[in-house]
Amino acid sequence: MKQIYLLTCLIAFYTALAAQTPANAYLSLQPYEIKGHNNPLKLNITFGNYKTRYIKRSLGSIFNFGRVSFENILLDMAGVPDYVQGTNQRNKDIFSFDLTENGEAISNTRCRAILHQNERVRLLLPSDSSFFSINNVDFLQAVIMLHNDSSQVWQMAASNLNGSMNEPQKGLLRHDTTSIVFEKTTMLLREKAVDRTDVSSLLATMNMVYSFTLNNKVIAAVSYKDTEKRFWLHEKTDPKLAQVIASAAMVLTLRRQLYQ
Amino acid sequence: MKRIIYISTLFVIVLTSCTTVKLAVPEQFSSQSTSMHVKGLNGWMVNQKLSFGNYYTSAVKRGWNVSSTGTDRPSGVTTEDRLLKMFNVEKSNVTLNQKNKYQFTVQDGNQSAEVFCIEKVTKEQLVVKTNTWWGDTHQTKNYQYSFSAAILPLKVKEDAPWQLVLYNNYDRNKDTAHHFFDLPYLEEEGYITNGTETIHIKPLRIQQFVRKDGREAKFPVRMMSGYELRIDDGVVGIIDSFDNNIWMYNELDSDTKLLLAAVSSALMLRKIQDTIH
Repeated sequence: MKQIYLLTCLIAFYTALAAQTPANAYLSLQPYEIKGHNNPLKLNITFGNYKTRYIKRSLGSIFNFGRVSFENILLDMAGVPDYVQGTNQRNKDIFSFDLTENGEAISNTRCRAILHQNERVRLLLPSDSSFFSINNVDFLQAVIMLHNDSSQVWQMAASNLNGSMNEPQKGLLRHDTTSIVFEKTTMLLREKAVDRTDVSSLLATMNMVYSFTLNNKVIAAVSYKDTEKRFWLHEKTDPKLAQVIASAAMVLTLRRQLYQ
Repeated sequence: MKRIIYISTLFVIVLTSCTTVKLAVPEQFSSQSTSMHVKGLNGWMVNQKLSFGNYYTSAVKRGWNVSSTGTDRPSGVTTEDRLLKMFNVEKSNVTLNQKNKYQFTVQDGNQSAEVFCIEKVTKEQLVVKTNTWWGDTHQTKNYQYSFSAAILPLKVKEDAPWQLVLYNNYDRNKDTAHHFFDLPYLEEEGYITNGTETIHIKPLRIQQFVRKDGREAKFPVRMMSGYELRIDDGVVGIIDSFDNNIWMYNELDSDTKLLLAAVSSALMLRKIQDTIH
């Protein structure tokens, strides 16, 4: 009896809730826990019905070599202190993976991220407010190919994902005229999947995420931080778009922090 | 951010040592409302129960207060990061997560409501290792605090549950505080809704307070002192966290009063302190 009563109440509540919530609350997105990303013994990552497989990373992504700067060698020989010398380093991260849904392969993703670090303290030149001259190149690009429709090749591009510049950390997913924008932000999101018989599924928490926006409407999000990682997806998202977003979310989960 | 903690700590020490601080509730509101002192907040916490006026809670059932600290993906590179790296100062980016869950029932003798709560904080800090007797220094880069509760009135008549959300979000890059006594910029919001009606929760930061001897005094900065509950821009309740009092507007119906009692109890039973206050 109590369950029927609770069910009736919750249905009435969920239908009326959307109009009452603040701008950064996205309680219609359903959460899925991401498992395996922090476990060195697990090679694949799972969330909801999705699972990655065949994650491959280039050796150059693991062993980064800084670029030799002759200017810094000369400054070293002249006894100029380290802090006047600029940081000039190149890092990259190249990886690929397949994504499966309920055991069936749905997409293949190849990704390349680069960070050319070019930073110098401005002691003698007119300095900006941060004292640094920062000319970094921080770029990520990926190609997502859906298996069930060979015409669906999505391009993914993002800038400043390492947060090395004073700019938003954002990117774009594009195919033909469809564009999905993603950006690092904080959002109020549901803690548990909606269970219409469990009142505690109303609980929500604030999370730092990459939000995915299609036509000015947030349709998905993935946690920025590695601890308690979650993926949120709107229930009514088109299945093909959901597969693309799940692949993009995996790129953002698997990418390495290149700023050192 | 850190200076606010210093200021808050300093004032807490001064206030607790010299006098009892009371919230100066405007007479316009106090004359039409009832003040209830909340008992059970301090002391023995096993089977903790609250009581105020004719409201009382069941024993609070608490989950694990989970907390973890470790290195995580940094949200961005700051000027401080670059300067410390340049001068080869040992530093690390640490992310702290803390989560707390609890539930209880609140009743007034005739009606009762079940309350389920969760609070969570995620804080990213730049930790500088000084290797001296000063110890490590911490600078908060950003933090997200959120408190959420589901309130289910247990009635024969069908009634939708209420959802409470209270959050604040701090980002050092968006901070507008430049002077010592400036409060940091916080993005914050609080509300309770059942889908059709909404009660807004407004943090109460005051500069004026009443001393034990009845005289009014002033803090140099505005201090967090509780919450104001508003329906359609009219104050219906005040939660005074200085003196653990709850003020409720007299003209409210018993359902709304029970809801306000549930909200007040849920807010007062929180364990994770938001570092800004």
